[in-house]
Amino acid sequence: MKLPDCKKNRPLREDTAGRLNIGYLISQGLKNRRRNRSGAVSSSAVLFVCLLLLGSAYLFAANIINILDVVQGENVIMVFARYDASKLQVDALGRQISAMENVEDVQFISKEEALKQQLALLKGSASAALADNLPENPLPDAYCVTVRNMEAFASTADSLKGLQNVENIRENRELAAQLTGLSKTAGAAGLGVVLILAFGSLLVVMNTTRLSMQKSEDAIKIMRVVGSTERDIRIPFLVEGIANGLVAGVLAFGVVWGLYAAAIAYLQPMISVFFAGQFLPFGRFVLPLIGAYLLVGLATGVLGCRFSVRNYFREKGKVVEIVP
Amino acid sequence: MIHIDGVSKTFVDGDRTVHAIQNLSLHVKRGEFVFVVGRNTSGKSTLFNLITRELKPDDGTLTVDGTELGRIREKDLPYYRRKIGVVFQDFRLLPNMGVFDNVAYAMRVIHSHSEKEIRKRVAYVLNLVGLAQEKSRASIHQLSGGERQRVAIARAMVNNPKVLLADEPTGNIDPEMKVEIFRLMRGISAQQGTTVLMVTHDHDLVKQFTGRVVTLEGGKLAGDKVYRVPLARIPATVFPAAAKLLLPGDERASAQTAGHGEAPQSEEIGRLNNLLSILNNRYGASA
Repeated sequence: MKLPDCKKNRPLREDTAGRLNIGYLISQGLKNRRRNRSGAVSSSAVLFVCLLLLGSAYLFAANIINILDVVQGENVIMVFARYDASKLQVDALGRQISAMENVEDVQFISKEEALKQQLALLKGSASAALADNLPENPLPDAYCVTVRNMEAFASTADSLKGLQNVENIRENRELAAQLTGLSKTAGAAGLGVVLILAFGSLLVVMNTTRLSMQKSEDAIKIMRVVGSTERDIRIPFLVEGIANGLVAGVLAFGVVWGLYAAAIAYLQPMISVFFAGQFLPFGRFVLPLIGAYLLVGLATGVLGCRFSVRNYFREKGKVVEIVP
Repeated sequence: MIHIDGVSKTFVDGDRTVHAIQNLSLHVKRGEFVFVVGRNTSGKSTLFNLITRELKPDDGTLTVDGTELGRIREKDLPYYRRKIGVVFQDFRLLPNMGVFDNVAYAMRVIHSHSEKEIRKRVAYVLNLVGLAQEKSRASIHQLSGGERQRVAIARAMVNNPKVLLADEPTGNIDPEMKVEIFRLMRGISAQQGTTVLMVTHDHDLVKQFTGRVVTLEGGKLAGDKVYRVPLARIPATVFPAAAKLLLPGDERASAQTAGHGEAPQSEEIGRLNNLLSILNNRYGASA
């Protein structure tokens, strides 16, 4: 760098008292990060694990909810009317079912229509033979009931069973209960793990910031002596913490994406067989994941730095050792 | 510029109470150069920390460039400190930066000056402290002690402070460089109009200069004299009483212990003042 041959005292501008040289302070933060490489790696690694689990829990929960929706849509409760119920009684039963609280939708399937559907499932000759030899339609009138809230599935089924003129019902409450339970457990466990890891990440970020501050102690002293505000002193460490958070976020996003793609490839056939459902496409998670990762990365960086700098100044006091 | 009126500062260390500064009054004019001498625990450090407002006085008022430090708000402290440049005994340069960046650092971390402005200003202060332009690219490890202290002085001066505080700036420097650094700081004071307070133990060096010498002892003002003649030029064998009178407090005490005579009595002072004027005529007023 060639300096100007400057022998003249040029007055400094005095109007810059409150203005920050933000670009320089940011570059100092990134330099600090390079100097404190081991701390930065450990900080990013713990945050990465936290974000990875957070993302996995989110994707798992979203897919469970999706499967529940599918099951909810298909696993309707079939309510069969008594064989000897009159048309008026069957209509009254339909109105009673529609009036129930947890019922989303009711579809009437007449015994004739039901027989037609069953015969259609058989091969041509068997179907014709059966139709010719049946003395009367053995099937009852039925209602296809879709429940609104899967958690109240069992009680709704019991209520339906207790209605007058109901012969019996057909439902798959075990599957519904299992899926609901799985969703709840996964949500609670995921939240717990993420909270623990978030707390751990905060501690690691604080520790890393502290380490970095110790390494930059001389620079901090000089900053204070020449009149830097605490805000100015904090900025490089804030940048460092945010950079660690962002690195962890980008890595976690990539890995979650890869794992999700692998899960789709290996598990999609099983999902299709059991639930006639599909994994949700990753595209719909991109924005929420990026948003959440940015938020967590920024929050841990900002909070970790804030606590650490505050503790540092509390320990060191306001005193700069001018005379050793 | 600096007005210290009846300032006291006491520290409590367990059962022990230390009166670091006791009822100290001192006034330093704008652009004045003052040597502050005294032994360890004489209160020099406390005085510096009071001026930089690292410490608050228990009693009295301390005003620097119109700012009363007892009343200044915490959030305004950094802006007050921008009026002060500090030079440390151990230089406190940042080893991972070169000469230019060390000096520019003090500008970059507090102002939003353009790089062009920074380059011009750093060039000016490096020139002011007598560092050749080639040195601006050097690493700190490549410099001698004297050169490092020049960089530290340049850093302290780069924000154009009104007051320059120097703590034993020659403490880690080769003897032949000490006079150079002293002259440099005197020159800065004279040329830039900066008020300079320099703490030093080096009486032999102080004796080579004219000017004001403030002596602290046990937190009190033990002497405040303006030397018009460098003490080193006064033939002590011819004028022992005058020499002793002009010596700072602790050296005067050691001179008495060594059996060079009693401290001058009040009637002698008038006579000695006459001698001083003779000495002034004979030896001149500059170092």
